[in-house]
Amino acid sequence: MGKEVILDVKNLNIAFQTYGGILRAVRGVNFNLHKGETLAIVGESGCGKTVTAKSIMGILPKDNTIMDAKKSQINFDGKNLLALNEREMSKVRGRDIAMIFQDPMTSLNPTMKVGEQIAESMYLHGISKKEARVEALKMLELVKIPNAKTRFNQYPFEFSGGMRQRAMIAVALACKPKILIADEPTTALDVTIQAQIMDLIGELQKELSMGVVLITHDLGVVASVADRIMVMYAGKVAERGNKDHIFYDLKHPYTYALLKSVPRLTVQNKEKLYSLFGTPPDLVTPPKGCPFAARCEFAMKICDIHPPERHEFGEMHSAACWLHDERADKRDLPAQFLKRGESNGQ
Amino acid sequence: MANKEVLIQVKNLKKHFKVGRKQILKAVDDVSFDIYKGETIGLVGESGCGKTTCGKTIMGLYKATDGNVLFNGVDIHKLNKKDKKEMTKRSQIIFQDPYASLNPRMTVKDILGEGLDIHGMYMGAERDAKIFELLDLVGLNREHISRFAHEFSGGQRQRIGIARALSVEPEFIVCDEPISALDVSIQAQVVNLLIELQQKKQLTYLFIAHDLSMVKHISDRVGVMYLGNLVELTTSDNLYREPLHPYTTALLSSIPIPDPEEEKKKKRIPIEGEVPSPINPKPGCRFHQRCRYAKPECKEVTPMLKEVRENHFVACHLY
Amino acid sequence: MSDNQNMPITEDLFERVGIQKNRAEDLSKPALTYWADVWRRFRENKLAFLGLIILVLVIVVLYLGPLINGSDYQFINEIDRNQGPSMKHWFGTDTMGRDLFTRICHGGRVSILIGVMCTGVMFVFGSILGSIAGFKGGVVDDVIMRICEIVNNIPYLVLVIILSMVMGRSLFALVFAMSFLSWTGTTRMVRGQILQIKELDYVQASTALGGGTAHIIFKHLIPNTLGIIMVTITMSVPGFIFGEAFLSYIGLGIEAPATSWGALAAAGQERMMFYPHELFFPCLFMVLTILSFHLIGDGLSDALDPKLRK
Repeated sequence: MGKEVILDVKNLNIAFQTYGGILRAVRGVNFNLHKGETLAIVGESGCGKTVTAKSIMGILPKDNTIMDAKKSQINFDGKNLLALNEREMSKVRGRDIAMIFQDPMTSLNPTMKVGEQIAESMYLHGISKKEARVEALKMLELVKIPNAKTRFNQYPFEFSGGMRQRAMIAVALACKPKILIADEPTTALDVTIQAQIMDLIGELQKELSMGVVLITHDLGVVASVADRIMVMYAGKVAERGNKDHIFYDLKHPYTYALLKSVPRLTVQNKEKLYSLFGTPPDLVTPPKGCPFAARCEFAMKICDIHPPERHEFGEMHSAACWLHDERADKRDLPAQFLKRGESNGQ
Repeated sequence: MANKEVLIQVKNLKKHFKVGRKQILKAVDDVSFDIYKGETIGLVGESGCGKTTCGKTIMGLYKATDGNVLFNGVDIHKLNKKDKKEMTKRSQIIFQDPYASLNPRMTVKDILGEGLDIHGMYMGAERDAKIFELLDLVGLNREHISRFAHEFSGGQRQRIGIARALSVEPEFIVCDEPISALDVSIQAQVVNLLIELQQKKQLTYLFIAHDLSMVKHISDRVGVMYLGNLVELTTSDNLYREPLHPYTTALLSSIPIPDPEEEKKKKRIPIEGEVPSPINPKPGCRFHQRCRYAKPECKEVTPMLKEVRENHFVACHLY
Repeated sequence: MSDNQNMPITEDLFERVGIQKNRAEDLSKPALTYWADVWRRFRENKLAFLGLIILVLVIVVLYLGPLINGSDYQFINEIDRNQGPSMKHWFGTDTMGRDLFTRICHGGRVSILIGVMCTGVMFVFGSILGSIAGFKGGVVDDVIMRICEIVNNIPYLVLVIILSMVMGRSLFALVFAMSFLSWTGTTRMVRGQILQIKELDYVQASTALGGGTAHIIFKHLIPNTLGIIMVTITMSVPGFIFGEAFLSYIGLGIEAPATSWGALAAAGQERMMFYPHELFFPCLFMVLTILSFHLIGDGLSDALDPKLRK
């Protein structure tokens, strides 16, 4: 792709100690992020996308998270973030990597003025209080909050949902980080506000040359803003590619099912929608083979026994599925599965 | 499909809430429309537009501040206590949040049996049989009858909620954003189920949502609400092919399409600004501050909902 | 990242099987009811569990002790007065030669009974009143709250004195006097809880199904506030034990020949300088009991907190 890689995640494995056993939330995930690009991590609840995001920020609960910094790496700026202690990590957080969350109501401190909260993240990283306030005001204007001067001294409850989200973006971007992780930033917002917020993130990304990791389950949002997409299922990566790959040249049955489940405005009224049967598997005792096998209409015997190998389909496009093995039964597969990638497909 | 018999008439419905000393939140402010037997009528709009309040007032959970809701000709807000209880068997509701809508201390058996017990329907062995029947209807395993709500996934809980609504054998169900909190692949399951049940049990639905694509799919007619007013009402095909109200057009263009080519082709009409507060609203069209076509008239006179094309109603001074 | 698969990959494994419905949707975790989960978490808390054990031991001693010992708590024996602990009298004797251990056992039964009965009255009265106030709201709520405030302002001691002058100092009278003014805190707390849950969807669903006020209060509201109420209850019992002890100190506690830990402590305090054991043992039991209730209450509160759940 030519652009510089700013984040490199290798063999990420994260598990949690629960009363029911050890829950393996993330199982062998690899991906990277380039400067200025938007990587969308897509999947349904429980697939591990939020845990992945939180592990980059180092905000997973310390007492019951199980992780091995020798086997897993999150490489940023020449360091493995998983190997840093809390003090070192706190220097990275906010300044180099920032995160915004789904619910702006609980992510802003209700007892602190909004302007102060933006300034706080700056003077935690060494800027003087006076200068931080000036910069904070500029941030409020940057995120297009009208009457920024008045709003600076207001509290979060005086802001509407969309404005709080903007304020949260201001807090996150105050120190001009290199990477922004956005965890379902627009799920709780109305559709018209959602469009405004996604536009804003896009503009700021260009201005700051940031890399953005966007966690979402909304395929519409992904279609409009993502450069590359990673589809996760039950803690593993099902398929990874750029926008065109995932929407038009998809290779994994789960990606296929996801796209088919979203109703289009062109679908006949009250026609039965394609729906995936069942629910994702339990991750305390995850299935031995492919996690999607039980719900997959194209599943083969081998899918339950051995985890599928990863097949490459051209530039940064890969999927883990037995259907792409030469020996697989290729009858009745969706057309896209059989197309070969352009550059150097198999 | 709907045969044109009217089941519910909503006439000049108003629902106001008092907040603070002199502030009145006009959640629903003069809304009128009919609901036909057997149809699915969708109600869309963004937060604060009053669609949920409207739905809850129509099925009797809230009492109207002004105006009437006639169910088969009977004003549901003017019933005595006994008739009101009878009414609950006819009009039911499915809630949005699958996690808050089921009592965490009750088993599935208790949840589905509650309605039966309140109305004294089915005793003893018949009661158990009825509960199993409900589980079968929504596609849940009979073995799960002694499990607690928190042991199920979001989609399964929503199905329990649907079974609960069906337990008293209603004619009309308000579906209050039943799929917003669910994953995409589960949404399709639940919507398919609702459509199937409608045909099996001859139900009439008021489907409230902010996801326009899903609403279009399931509804025969769709109404668009903005800040307590109904601004457009027509068949779902019409609404998407030929939206008339400026708010509807902007709303439709904001929906992100899960298809990159289509997204690029789409011309987005941005709406600036925030939704104003429904507390003590100013006169005139509620949308005029954010509308690109606003005329001086829009600031003073509230437009009435009128039929400008066949079966297509709009409240806007442009027409 | 391969699992331990030793099966070789052969051609026939690529045969299609499609969707497996029976495995695609099952509930994994074993069915744990709410209370079973709370109990599990409670047990894991060492201090809380210790508190529970202490309490159980104390109660066992109180009821079985005299059976083993054989003494009569009322038997007056001038010869053996004020003796220290010995084989014959495990805790010694008091100023009238009565066996202190047996007196502590009988007194303990009274003390704990008072604590539990007062708490019971407070709970029943307070939660029903609080539920009605919280759920109904409006005028009913205002009236109940105003009554609460008035009752709260009545000076406790004055009322207890008046009531004991009128009703005597029997067990029943004491319970009545102490719980008469005690329910306001519970009412307010329950009302607060109800206010939080009454807008929840499942309560609205019950209304939509036709459920009346009583039905909703008993089937939905109170069961879901029980957790918080339990904690307060556990913490209230020692309060009442101590309250009775205080009344005994000022001469208004349970009337002789019945006795309580407070009465025993009050009597023992007079001879503290010469016969400290007469003060020590009643206090020891009181302290152990009160401590155990507090530990249990703390443990319950943690076990019930959903945020501490793993």
